[in-house]
Amino acid sequence: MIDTIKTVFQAILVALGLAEKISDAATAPKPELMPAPPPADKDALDRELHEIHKQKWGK
Amino acid sequence: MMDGYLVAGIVLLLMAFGAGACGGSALDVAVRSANIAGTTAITAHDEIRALCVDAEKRASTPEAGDVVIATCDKAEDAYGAFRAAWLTMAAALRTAMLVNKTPDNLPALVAAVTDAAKNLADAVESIRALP
Repeated sequence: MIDTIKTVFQAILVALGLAEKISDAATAPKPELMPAPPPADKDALDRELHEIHKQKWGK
Repeated sequence: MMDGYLVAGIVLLLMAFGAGACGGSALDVAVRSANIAGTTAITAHDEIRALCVDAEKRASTPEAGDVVIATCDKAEDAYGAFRAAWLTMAAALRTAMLVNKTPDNLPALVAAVTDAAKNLADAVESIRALP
């Protein structure tokens, strides 16, 4: 009998916990999509690397 | 750091599966996944430049310096491909947010971003492997 009461009580606690989580999810703010990552700047990196190359070996 | 990209890719993939399974919040999950991928891209963008400059400074011969430049060109291409895949997914999500419906082709979009993330991880790893 006591075991049955404990089981029912636990089931109620679980249900309450789930209800709280569902409620939290419903009221959570909608995520915003972040701005686009910066474009690739292959030319700028290439220039920078060639400049280092030139400083070290002169070509 | 390569592990970081792979983990992000795997997380993205798992979240996409989750998006298909959790009904009403699928679009929210997809947007959060896109944000994770976008943050990964920004990190990679900064890291490629820093790693390449260091590698070029470390290069001990002109030939080694040429290898650095070629490797870094490929990494920039991989970043560009990643960004392009992300922009495609973001465009689909923006449209989806207006009508509050998850795009039907979301799995394909996520797969493209995940593949690009793996390629980017490999490209960054190849810079790290330079002498």
